[in-house]
Amino acid sequence: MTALLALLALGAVSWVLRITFITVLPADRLPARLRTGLDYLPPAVLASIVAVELTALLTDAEPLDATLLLAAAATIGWVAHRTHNISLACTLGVAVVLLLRYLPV
Amino acid sequence: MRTLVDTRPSALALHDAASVALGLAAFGVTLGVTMSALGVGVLPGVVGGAVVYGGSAQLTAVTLLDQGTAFLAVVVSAAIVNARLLLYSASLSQRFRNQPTWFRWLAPQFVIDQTYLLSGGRPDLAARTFRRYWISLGFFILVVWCTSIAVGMLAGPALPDLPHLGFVGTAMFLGLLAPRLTSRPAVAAALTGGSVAAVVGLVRPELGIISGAIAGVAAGSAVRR
Repeated sequence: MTALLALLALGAVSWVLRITFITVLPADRLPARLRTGLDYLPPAVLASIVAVELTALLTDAEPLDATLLLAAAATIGWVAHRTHNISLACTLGVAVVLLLRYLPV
Repeated sequence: MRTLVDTRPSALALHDAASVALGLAAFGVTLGVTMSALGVGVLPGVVGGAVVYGGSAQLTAVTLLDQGTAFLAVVVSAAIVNARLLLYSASLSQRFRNQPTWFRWLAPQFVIDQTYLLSGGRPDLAARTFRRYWISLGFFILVVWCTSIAVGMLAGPALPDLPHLGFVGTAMFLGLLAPRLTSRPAVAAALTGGSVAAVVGLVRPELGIISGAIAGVAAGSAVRR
């Protein structure tokens, strides 16, 4: 019951965050410099998510697995840059996970 | 002349949702398995998935609850993980401006990493088309998300042990990131954001992403000048 209540409360707070600059305080009232800076939000936030997730994965992994994960991430990034294909990046991610699980090392 | 995009925005949304489905499903299953191991029931897990609609924040909340953290501290800490939604909200504001009131109040519930980033790749949709695209995209992704959480919770013990399953989600974000690195400001934003997020995340995990995002935006703006 506590978990459900906490998640409902978190959902309500998250909804307020979501509507803040869309419905409550439209972002066109923000300073122009701040608004143009948001053009760089996608690469900034994506790199932040990747960095946080990779750091967590590498911290928990064995040294060999960590090295392979890092190399795989670099390779997937390169492939995605060349192909612009998100599905391919995900598929390569699955292949790496299965390889690390079933590779007889 | 009306194009296919104008007449079939839901097909476009389905195409975009399918491109991230594998990464989302892997993260959802991981979250479901973790919640199942922590003793969270299927109902709170799946309802939470739809209401919170943010995996990292939900994971933070259930982990802190399991550690016996106080209710308010759980909600605040997990909300900080979701603080980037504020930035998404500011960035999406323009696209919601000429929409009906009901849409501006309800449709932001679908604001998550994937919908924000995928819709950013469709800048030319007219207001009505964008509305249909956004609702379809949010719905399709929600179905994938909640289904994968439920699968993780119900079938968790029967699934093979895949310790690095979360890497599929990382691969999805890499797939979204790499094609955007086409200018010096974008590269500066990514390098700065990633570095700051990694360092801050080691000290305060809940602050990693938002710190990196803000630092990256500042770096991108500075390089453009």
